[in-house]
Amino acid sequence: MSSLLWLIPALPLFGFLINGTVGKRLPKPLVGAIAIAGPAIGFILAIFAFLQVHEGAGALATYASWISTGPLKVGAGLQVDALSAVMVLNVTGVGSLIHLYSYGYMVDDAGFARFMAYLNLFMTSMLILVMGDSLPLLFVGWEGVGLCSYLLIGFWFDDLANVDAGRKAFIVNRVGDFAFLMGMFALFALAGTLGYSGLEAALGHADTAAVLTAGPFAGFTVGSVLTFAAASLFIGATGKSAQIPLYIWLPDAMAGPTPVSALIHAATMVTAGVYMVGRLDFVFIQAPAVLTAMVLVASATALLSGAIAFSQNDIKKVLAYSTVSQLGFMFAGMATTFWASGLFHVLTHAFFKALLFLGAGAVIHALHHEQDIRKMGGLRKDLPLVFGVFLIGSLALAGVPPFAGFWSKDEILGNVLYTALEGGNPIWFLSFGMLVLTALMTAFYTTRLVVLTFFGEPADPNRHPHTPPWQMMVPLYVLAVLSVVGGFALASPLEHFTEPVWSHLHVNEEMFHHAHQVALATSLVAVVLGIGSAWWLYSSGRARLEAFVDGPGHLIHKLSLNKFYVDEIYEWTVVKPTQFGADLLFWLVDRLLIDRIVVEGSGQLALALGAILRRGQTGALSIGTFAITGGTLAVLGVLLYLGVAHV
Amino acid sequence: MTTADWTAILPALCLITAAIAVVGADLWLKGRQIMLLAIISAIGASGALGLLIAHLRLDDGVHVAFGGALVMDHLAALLGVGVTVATLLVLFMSTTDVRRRHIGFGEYFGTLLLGAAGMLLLLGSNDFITMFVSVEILSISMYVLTGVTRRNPRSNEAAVKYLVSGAFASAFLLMGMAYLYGVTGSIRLDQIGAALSTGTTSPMLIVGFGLLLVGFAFKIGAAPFHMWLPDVYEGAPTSTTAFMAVAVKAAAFGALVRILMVAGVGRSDLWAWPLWGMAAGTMVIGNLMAAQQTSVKRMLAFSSIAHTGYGLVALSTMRAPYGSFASEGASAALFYVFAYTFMTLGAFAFLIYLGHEVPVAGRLETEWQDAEHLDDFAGIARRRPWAALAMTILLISLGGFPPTVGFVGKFWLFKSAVDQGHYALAILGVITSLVSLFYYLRVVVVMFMKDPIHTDEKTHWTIGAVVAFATVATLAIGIWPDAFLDAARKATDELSAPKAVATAPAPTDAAPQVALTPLP
Repeated sequence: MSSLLWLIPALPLFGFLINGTVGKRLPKPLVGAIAIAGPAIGFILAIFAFLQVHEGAGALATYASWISTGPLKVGAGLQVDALSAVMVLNVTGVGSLIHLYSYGYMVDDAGFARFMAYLNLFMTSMLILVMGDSLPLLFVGWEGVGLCSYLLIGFWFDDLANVDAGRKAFIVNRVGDFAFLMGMFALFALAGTLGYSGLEAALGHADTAAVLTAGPFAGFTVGSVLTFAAASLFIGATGKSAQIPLYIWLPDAMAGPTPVSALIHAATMVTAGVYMVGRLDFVFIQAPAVLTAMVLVASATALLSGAIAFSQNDIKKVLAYSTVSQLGFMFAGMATTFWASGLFHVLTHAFFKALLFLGAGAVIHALHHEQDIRKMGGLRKDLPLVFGVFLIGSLALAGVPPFAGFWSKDEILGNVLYTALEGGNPIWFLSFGMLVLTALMTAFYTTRLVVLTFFGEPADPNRHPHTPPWQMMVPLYVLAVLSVVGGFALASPLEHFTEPVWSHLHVNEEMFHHAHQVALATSLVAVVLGIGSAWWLYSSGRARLEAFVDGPGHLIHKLSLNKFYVDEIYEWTVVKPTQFGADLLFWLVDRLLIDRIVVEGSGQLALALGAILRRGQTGALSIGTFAITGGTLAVLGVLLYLGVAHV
Repeated sequence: MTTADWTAILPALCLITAAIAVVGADLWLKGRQIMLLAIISAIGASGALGLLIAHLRLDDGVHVAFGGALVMDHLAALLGVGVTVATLLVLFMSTTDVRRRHIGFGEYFGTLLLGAAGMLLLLGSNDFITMFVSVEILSISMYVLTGVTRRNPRSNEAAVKYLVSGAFASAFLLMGMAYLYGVTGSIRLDQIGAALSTGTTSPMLIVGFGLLLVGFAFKIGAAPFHMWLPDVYEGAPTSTTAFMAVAVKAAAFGALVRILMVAGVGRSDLWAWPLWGMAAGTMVIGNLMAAQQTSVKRMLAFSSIAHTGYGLVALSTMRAPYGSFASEGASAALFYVFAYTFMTLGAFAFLIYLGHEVPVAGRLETEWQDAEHLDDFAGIARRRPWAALAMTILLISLGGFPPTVGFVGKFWLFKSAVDQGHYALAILGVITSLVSLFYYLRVVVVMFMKDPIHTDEKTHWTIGAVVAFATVATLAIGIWPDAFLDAARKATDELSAPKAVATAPAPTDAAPQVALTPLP
């Protein structure tokens, strides 16, 4: 199997190369087949790799030396252990479904081949990200998915808003990437290597109190450098995985076609940060301060974006903020160091959020690209099958048992509460409270979304929704099944499966059990409250809603509707000052100094001098011979001075 | 004393034989069968090329022949490869070009081959007689080739100008040789070197050496001995210009390096400063004048002067401002001259590629006109994107951008200057290179961003193939320069190794008759 590992990322690359070059001239079904074949075959290969890992043998393959300069040696190698195997299955499995869905969704678009080619390139990058055996390879994938995300957000580039959204995603991610690189450099300074196995061997049980004597961190303790590295890496993750303070790009990223939102901005790419934390568990576990910061950031992100999702009217925006919120849950799970619970939520979230996005896509597709939920309503009767699967996805998101989201969310809540009880740290209790509140909000906005979209009366009685083609429906059915059974079927196998990667802590069994019971009860109450209040507010027309918005809910509604003014705050604190500085540099340094003085000035000078010289170059023979004679005399004069007179 | 090592002369003999065969066959064929003549010429040139490459590949040391009159070493072989490749490419172009310009095939091919033979002999010549005869063989061939389009007044004017200025230079050269012989009693470079390095203050010796420098400075087009060059390059048919710009320059540079490294090696304190001044002046004048031109052909002529200046930077900085001598600069110059062959030949070939027929005033016939003016290049990228891309690559190579050979060469030139502590000259070189970007990239801008003015160019695949070959070589040697860098290094190693020439039986006394012993 190891010898075939390279095929998993290589097959989509092959599809990218074909569709990206000649795809426009190929028949569309062929383009689709080529594009789908890559991830689909990859999925089959991934199953074999998974089984091999399941039998206890990790798959590892090093193909070539990639970078070899001084002490830095990086091989181009792939590695599949339990963590990678789960991620590869997720990426190729959900990826294949979304590729199939994309065929139905995008086949009539003029840029169909380009779209499929970008999707394939994304698959390659994402697979390199999760399969690479070193941080530099992870970074290659990390940047690759970022590029594809940028290309796909701005896929319909004739609309300036889409292009701006793409740029926003790219630029915000660069901020995170900078921190990520800093973390990587710090780890290299400590361990002298960037391969996972080498890093773990060097840092897995480091003496954190030891003081470094050489290198860029001389004078600092190993523990403080590890904390710095972990903090930097986590800031990197807040970019890619949309956490405070860098989450702002993800809602705008919904400008891309809906399958992109499902694949990249819900199921796979945005979980890269979670994967990275799990991959470098041995670093984070030695930086408890970072873990505490992580749980606080994660739960605050979950709460804030959950509150914003309250009042969004764009069906995709609701799901986007919900994704940010759920990513917060995943990081909270990682912060407890019960890594498997974070990964579990990555999986279940991939199922139900992909389902919701694809379902939303089916609605948008059926309504001719209408995305405003206020203009929907009553779709239950027009699109009963879509309603069915969307409802399943919503129940899973809201955390209703026994759907998938319930299991993973409950596990994370339990683990956070356990960590809070065990450590007695108020931040953890606060985080637990915020997460429970988020669970309530999640149930609320999910219910609101379903009610406004599918219940009630059609906003436009003359509309004619068209039924989605089978290529779009089949992925929805599969994901719906996974959203139903994915929770209870995977809960305990996943934990066992990942045991080789993540050794368990000593757990106070009694307290652990107790914490989980309390968490279960609280979250169930939260879900019931959320669904009930949303149903009460939205199911019976606008009167009750308006009374609430004008009355007690005025402030929260206004804040939520305006996304807590975060974009405006960034605009005034970051964007405007940066623009001002850039304008200053542009006009003073670039325009005036470089363009006017250095470039044009020197050019004018050179031309002026040349014009003077040109007067001598008349072409007359006499001048030429005069110059030869004069030059000869000069040469001889210098030589005689140096050789005879000067001696 | 009469070692007849044919290795040294065989490549030149190939060319000479082919030249005689071509001229003879032309008498017989009376101006028909151009392909047959071209094939004969190509066989001769390929034979020479094969022998030279074999010498480089086999790496079989220095061959000294004919009593030390002629040598075959890495210098002669490396630049010889450049010369013969240029000859082959010009021959290839000529099969189309000569016909269009109504030039006699036989005389053209024969003169070209003889000129090339003169260059190979000049590269290997190790005494003054051989050197002067080779210079004259190549010069006279070039005078003829410059005026070969007999009906074209510009071509005629250029030939006369070249002849008169060339006569001046030859006179200086010969006078210098005579002085040196008169003082030392020898015509062999190594023996002149021995006499010079004794720390002599003999004015005759120094003047003689100075006149030698002047003669070759003229040939390579160094300021202030460059005045002839733009007019000749502009007036000559472009294929001749291309040949002159690369092959003559390579041969003359090679001979200059040999003179400096063998005859002048002990007295770099003498020649370093005049060359320093020439280098600075040549770079400044060449680049500033090139920026003034609206004729691309004339611009390339001045650019060729500028490149001579870069080569002189490396040669003049072989001696550090206060002290030591390092031969790295000579290697850099040799590599640069070799590398320069491809980009310049390609750029000139591109002018022919875009040429067109123009009506002759007062007559019904038309006349071939190469693309010379900037306007002729306007909007070429729209119609011929690949050709425009090739020319762009050639131009950025001339400007010294990676990944082309122009970058590698210039980098090494300036690096050798900096290593020797000659910062001023290196900085001047960089600044003038910056100026050069202005006029090189102006052509690119015109090709890609202006609307077409002419659309009547008559391209021919033979010319296009030469442009393509030159472009590929420019890129390929830019990306994999190692083999050629090594050859250039080896060339100067052989020159500085004392045994290189000592393997020849050196005369024991310095009496004139010893050095003038009849050749075999």
